[in-house]
Amino acid sequence: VEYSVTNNALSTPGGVRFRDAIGDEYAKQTLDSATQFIWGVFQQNAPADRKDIQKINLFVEDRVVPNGVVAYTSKDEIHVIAKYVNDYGGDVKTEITGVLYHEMVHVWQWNGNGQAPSGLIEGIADYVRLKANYAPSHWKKAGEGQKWDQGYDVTARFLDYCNTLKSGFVAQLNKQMRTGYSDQFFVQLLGKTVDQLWQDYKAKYGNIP
Amino acid sequence: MSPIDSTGNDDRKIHQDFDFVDTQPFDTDGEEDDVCGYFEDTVPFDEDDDVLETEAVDLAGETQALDDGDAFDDVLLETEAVNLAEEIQALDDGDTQLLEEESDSDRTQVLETVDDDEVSVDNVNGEAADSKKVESSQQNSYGSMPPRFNFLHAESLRQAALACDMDLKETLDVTNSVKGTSQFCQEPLVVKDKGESFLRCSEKDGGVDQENEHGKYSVEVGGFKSKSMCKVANSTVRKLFNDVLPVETNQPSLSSNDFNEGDDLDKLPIYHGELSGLSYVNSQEPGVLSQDNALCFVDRFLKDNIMEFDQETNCLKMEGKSKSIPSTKRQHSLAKTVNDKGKARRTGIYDWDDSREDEGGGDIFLRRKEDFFKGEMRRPRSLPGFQKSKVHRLNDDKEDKKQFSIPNKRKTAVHSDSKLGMHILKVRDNIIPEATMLKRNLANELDEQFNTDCSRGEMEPNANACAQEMLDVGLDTQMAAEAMEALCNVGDIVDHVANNATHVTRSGLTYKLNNSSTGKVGSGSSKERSVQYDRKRKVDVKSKLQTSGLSKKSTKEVKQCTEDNMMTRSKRSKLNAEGNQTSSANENGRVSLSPIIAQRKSDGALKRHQLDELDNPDGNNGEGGGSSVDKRHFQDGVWHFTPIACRTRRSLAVNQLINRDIPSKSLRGGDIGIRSLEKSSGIGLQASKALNSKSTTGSSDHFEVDDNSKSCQFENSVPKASAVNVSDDVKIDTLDCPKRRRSLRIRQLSNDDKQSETLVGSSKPSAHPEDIGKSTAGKRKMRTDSVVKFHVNCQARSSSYDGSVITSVDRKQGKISEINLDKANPGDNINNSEVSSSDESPRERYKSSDLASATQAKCKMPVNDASPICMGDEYYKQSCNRNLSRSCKELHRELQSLSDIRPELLTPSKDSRKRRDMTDVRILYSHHLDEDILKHQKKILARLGVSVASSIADATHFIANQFVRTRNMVEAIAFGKPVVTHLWIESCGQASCFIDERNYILRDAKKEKELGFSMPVSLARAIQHPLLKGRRVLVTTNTKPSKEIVSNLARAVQGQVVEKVGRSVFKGNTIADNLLILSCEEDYASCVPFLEKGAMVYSSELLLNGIVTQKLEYQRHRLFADNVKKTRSTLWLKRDDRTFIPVTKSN
Repeated sequence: VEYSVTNNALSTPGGVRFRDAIGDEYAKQTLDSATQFIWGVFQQNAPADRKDIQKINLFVEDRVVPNGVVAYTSKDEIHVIAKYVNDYGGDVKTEITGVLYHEMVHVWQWNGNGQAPSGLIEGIADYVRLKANYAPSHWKKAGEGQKWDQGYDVTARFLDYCNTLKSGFVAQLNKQMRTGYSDQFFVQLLGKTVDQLWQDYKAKYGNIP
Repeated sequence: MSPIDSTGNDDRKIHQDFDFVDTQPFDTDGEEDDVCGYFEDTVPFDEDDDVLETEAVDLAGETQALDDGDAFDDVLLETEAVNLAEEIQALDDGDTQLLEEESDSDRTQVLETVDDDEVSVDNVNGEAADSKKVESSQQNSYGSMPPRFNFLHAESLRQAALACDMDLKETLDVTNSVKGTSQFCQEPLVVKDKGESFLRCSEKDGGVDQENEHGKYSVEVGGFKSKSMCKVANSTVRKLFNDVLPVETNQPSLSSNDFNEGDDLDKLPIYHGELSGLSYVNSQEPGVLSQDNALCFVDRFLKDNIMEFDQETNCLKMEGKSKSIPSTKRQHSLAKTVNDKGKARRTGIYDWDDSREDEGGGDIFLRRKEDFFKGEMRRPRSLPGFQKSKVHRLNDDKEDKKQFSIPNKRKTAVHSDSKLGMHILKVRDNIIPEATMLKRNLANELDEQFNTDCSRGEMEPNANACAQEMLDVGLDTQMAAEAMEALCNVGDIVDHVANNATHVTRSGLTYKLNNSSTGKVGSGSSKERSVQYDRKRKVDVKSKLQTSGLSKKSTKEVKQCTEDNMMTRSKRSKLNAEGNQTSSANENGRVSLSPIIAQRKSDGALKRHQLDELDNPDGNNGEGGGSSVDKRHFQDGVWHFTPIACRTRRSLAVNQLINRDIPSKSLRGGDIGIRSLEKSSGIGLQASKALNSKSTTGSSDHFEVDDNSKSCQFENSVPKASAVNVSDDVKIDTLDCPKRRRSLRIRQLSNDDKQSETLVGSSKPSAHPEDIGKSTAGKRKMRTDSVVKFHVNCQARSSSYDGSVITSVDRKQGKISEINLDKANPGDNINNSEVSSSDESPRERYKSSDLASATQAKCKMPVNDASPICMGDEYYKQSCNRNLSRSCKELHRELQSLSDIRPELLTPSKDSRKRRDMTDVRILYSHHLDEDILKHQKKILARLGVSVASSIADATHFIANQFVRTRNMVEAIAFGKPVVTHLWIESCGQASCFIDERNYILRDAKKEKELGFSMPVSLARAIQHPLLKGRRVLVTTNTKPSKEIVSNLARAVQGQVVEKVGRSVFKGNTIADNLLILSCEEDYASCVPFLEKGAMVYSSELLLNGIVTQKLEYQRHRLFADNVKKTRSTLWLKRDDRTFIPVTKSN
């Protein structure tokens, strides 16, 4: 797989910070590391098991987006918002690395042919980031959240619990979501309904709100 | 049959006639009596008187002093006297020889005209041969032509011999009259008719003749009588010629020029010469047909001893029989006049030569004048159709002259020429009664005397019944009657062996006749007819029925002749017919050689004649003439259109003969015949409405040209074909080519002349169906041109009556569909009415002018005046059609432009909407969405390029997953902006483009039921009917949730928010109805002034809830209802001290 990094925001403070704090070379290296890690988590060893993508492009750009948006992915393109890079208060290099892992998952994951809940899609991406040890400190802890498909960090923790019940659960779930999605996948893989699993998960951690 | 008076009256008439003849040969009274007798009485007594008249005429001729030519006539007369004795001896020898000589004489008459140049030579040979015996001269007739001339003299001698024998006949007639019964008086007439029919049979079949001859002696007696009848006509004609001479000689005497007298004498011989040739043609043609009919009856007689006839048929035949005798006279009179004309022509030639010698060097002026007069006389009489009926017309003219006492003689001449066209139709129609006559003769012969009496007694009441029935008969019924008669003929065919093809053809024709008659029954029955027309229609019905029968039987008989052993004789008869036509071709050659100037003048004369023909009926109808006059006019009216159908059917028969062995062609010919029948019936209908219409005359004229052209075509083919066989199709096809070429020339000549263009144009539609089906390059062009005019009429009619849009006509199409043919008949009516209206002015002018001094130039003026009007009408129609076609094109263009505009309008609108929605979409998210959903949604918005709005006023869509009555939600509904779920953005993200949001409208069933609304309905109403549109809203300070929010909501529903209220509001007794006051309990003090004026104050909930449900519930949300009390005269308000205080009116 080939990678390219384009910084279109060098005229802005965010673009400059990306160049100085992270750099194109580190970003490119991170893209490749993330790809290899993702293939391992999804157990996609053979090319036939993966999406047919030969090149991945990373763009740093200055544009107006809804508040709170860090980056977004469109097929084989990853866009990082320069303003977010500029406004981040902590270790920007570690944060951006985690963001790149999250976005790279969107490049390689199956989405249930558009039928899977968006919370589950985002949850799987954060699950990979969690396993790569790039989870930020402000994420919710295990046992928190209102529902299993709330998305992002909440769903990521729930999937980590399911994976402990059965090793390789997330990989198998992703494989089945190649052609579609159904809540029955949880029953098939773990023998219980997703709601039952959620209740067990909440009970394990004391039903904290 | 006019009844005979007592014997005494008859004797008295005989006595008077003898006295006049002996004492005054040229007395006018004597002539008048003779003419009256000719028409009023048909008894045999007149024959004897006429014979005496003949002798008187001859004596008168001898007494006059004439030139050398006249001396030549004396020699001929002497020769006749010498031969008379020989003829008497021949009669004594035996009757067989007489009959044989008669048949030979017919051939002599036919072939005489072939070689006109040899006439003088024949004369010499004839004189030399007089000394020979009859038998030896008979043998010579087979070898060479010159000896045939002998029999011309022999025939005249026989006439003299017959005159001697008349004494015996007279005795028999007197004996019959003594008995005094009508039955016996009618018998001699029947006997005469029989004799004639059997004499004609003998000409074809000698064997049959022998049997009949031995069996019945009385038949020959009848034959002699019929010949004497012919003599009557002959003598009458001779008188007329002699009378014409004094009339013409009187005119030049006024100019006192001696040479003019000689020229006048020359005119007459030339005229006679031309007419004599054509009279042969006319005399032979009916003979052939009658002979074929007779042969058919003989065959039937041999096969079936007894034949029965329907009563209706008998009625028709009885009435038809009454006509047969006069027609017989006419036909024989034509044959006899040949002798006189032959002599006159010889005299004329010698006279002309002598006049040249007398002139010496010749005067230039006199020569030009001579050529001028010759051209004038030759042109109007050169048309073959007109010349045939000259003899009969002269008879009628004489009668008119005596009875109506027209003072001016020149006018008489004009009338005689103008009536030629009408009379031609009579001659054609005379052929028809013979068939009926022959049938009747055989029937009577077969029946016994007792049966005859019974049938006569029965016929009289049946005749009355038929007359009553026929009063209601219409033209369409006539078609049905003809079809029924065709079915009867089909029955007759079964008796004879016939080819399968022939049978199929006939049954097909019968089927089509039925169809055509059925189609026309309804249209004619509703029309009213006058009594006068009813009478004419009776005669018309009979003649038409006979016509159809005759045409079919003649066709059948011709075919039988070919099948029988009589092949040789049928060929001879056809060769004779060709000879006649060849002679007429020679005369037509003269027509083409005449100079252009003479041609123009003659055309003008032709038009004048036709106009005169129109005038005569009007003049005669005005006078209350005697019964004989009325009868004659009825006949004229009937003849006027009946023969058109007759002629059409003959052409049908000819087509059948030509296409007999080819079934496909014969079927097509049948189609042509059917169409022509329909056309002819249409013409008859027009004629019955307006006898004076010009188009009828034009159509008859056109038929004449067509028939003449056909005969000419046939004549041209004679040199090319050595032998003609009906069964030989190849040769017949070859012969057709010259026919078509000649017809093209004749029509072009008529078209070239502008004066005749109107008449020819009006008659073309009726004639074209006859030409359909013929395939020739030249004729195709003519048909194409006619088709164009044909369609013009159809288009004009449809545009005026139906109001439908006319489509452009393909002018290259070669065939006319049946629909067009059906339309053509009404078109003819339209043209007919127009032509008749245009005819009125020319007629009036013609009447107003002095007829005595009328010249060709003046006669042409009415024609010239009529033609521009007709042309103008036609031009106007064409221009109308052009305008219509243009409007059609414009309409078509508009439709095309509309169809072109629509895709242009639709395509840009779709594209622009798509692009506008994508670029202009601004999303406002409800605060009640989950943060994670919101996070994901925003990533999608970033990818799609959609922005997030800060307030509902700036947003285009509000995204919420549940109904919560928040400010944003209520404002979104107030503005009518789509309230959708987050799934809409998901779908847009997947599709990467805008998706219609109507399928993602937020539906919260629980809340909708609780509050009583439907989200889609509320959104739609908010857009269509804003809640507070046109109203002013006053919001007090402490209104909940806040004054600002309520004011914004009021504006959202198009309310006009009022910040301050001026004093003008309080001046009136009441507050304006359009002012809405929204307040709360805390603002009671602020509302008191409004309450004092009787205004209502409402809670802000009225608006908040109203926006969601799109309904304003005033009673439910009214404020301060408890604080206001109203009595009849005063208004009470509660103050702080809890007591109602009356409000004093400030104004």
